[in-house]
Amino acid sequence: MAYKWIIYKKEGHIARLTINKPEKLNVIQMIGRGEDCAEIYDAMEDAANDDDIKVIILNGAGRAFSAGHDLTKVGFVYGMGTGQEGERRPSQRIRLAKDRMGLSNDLLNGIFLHPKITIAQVHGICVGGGALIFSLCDLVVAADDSQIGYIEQRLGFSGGGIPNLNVLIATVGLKRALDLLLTGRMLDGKEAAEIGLITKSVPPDKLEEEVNNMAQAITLLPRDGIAIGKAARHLAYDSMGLTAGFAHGYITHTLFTNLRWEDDEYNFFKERRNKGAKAGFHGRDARYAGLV
Amino acid sequence: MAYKTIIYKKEGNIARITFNRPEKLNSWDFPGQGGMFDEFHAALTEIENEDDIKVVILKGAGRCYSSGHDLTTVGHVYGMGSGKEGERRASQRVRLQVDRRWLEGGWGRLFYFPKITISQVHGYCIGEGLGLALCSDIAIAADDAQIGHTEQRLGFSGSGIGTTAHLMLAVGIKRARELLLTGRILSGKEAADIGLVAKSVPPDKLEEEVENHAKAMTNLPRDGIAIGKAFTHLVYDSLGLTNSFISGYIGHSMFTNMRWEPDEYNFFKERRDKGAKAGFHGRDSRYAGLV
Repeated sequence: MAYKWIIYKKEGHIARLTINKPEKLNVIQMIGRGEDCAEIYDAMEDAANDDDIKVIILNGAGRAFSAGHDLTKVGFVYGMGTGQEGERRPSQRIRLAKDRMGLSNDLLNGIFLHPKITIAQVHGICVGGGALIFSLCDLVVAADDSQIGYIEQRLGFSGGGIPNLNVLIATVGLKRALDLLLTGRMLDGKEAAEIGLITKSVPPDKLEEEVNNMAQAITLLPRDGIAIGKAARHLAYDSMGLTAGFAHGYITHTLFTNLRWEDDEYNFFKERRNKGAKAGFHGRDARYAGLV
Repeated sequence: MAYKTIIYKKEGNIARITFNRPEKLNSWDFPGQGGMFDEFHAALTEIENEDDIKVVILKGAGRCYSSGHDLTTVGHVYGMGSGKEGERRASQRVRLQVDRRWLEGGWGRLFYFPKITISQVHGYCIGEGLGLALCSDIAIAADDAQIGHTEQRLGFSGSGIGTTAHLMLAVGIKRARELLLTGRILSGKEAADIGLVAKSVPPDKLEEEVENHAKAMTNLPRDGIAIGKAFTHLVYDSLGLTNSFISGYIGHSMFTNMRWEPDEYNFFKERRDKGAKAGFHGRDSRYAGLV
């Protein structure tokens, strides 16, 4: 398959998947599984089926790992904003169906329970869906000056609508997870490593080398051993309730998309409609200045 | 899409998938082999995208619902039985990969399907057939259906299926263990008595009964069905049913790599030496008069 939005390369036992939409800070249309998201899934499948691949490195081209979900498309994918007269609210079932396509089992398990070892190489901006993707990888190495966070929560999710809530709680602890989700505050790579959100943080100019060394070290493991280890973690993760989060995530995402906004609440979707996406983001975050 | 091994029809709010390998008693293959499994899932994808479909009926053509997995080819999918000189044991990773896609990706997908699913069970409903009936929202059987986990006599001893937990929740742990450790066959009547199927009816009433159930369920609104299925998914997860697909595939992979002792019945050896039919016969004749 020829890819448009990613670069996928294999060398020896290592596959590299680079999200390649630098002009869009590598945003991905997860909800409804857009073309970019489908390419990531397809490449992950290829790596799963290639017996010689033991490790997959995920990174982003340009300034960021990934700025997360493509919020210029969100909502429209359910059929909102057609501009047609008499447009009705999208049905609950279309919301559930699109959310499930982007946030539920096969796609997320495709990363979380990928039969090979996954390493995220994080630099620059890594928020929302980007931070979701790395949280599902086995290992995460970030540049010290990365900007990491669940800033999309400021849209109003308040800790809902993400499929990795359970993973996040198990990763950094309940109180830290809630701090990250309820404020949407940004961490640098160093702080992310200190609270265990990622495996380690290194100076930006050492990032690539660090990840390559880690990947090389893992290729020393036998193929069958890697597969068995993943299967064992599949059982463990499931009994810890982590995979159940994938169902909670898409269902609460659907609930969120159908909120009733009150007059004194910041409604990103309305702002986006009236002033454009950029102003919508700015307004969302300006309210937090000086607070967290 | 044109299907060869299934028949797919829709009428109003109801879709029907008929497993259509009657000469093989509607036995199943693995994902990626281009057979009934892949076609069944292609039809599920069609149905998923069809807003007007509310209920899916699954049934079998010919003498039965499904006799289970096609045991004449099992093992070959991992690369066993290539006939090539120096063929080695299949790797653990290829076993795990195939088994996961089959049980978690296959049975699990039916279990969490966003429309209501009904299995219409007649004749044999064995092994994988019963697994799929358990993954349906409800199953209605003919009184004289023959239902069971006979495949467990291959030696699984209560492992290697995606629906162990489903079975335990349907009939209780003690009954489930008995069914799995003996592989005995139940009639549709007995299956209904212990809660393995929703109900059992005389064979000539089966189609009508299923039809009426399906029609009754089409009274529900589309959004309501989607929400009900999504919330049932949450409940199933918290009951541990999702875990059953995982322990199922891992158990299946372990089973395919057993060391058989000389006094144990090794179906795979018998199949190789005497053919599949003699292999089955030998497996089951040992149980005659016992259960």
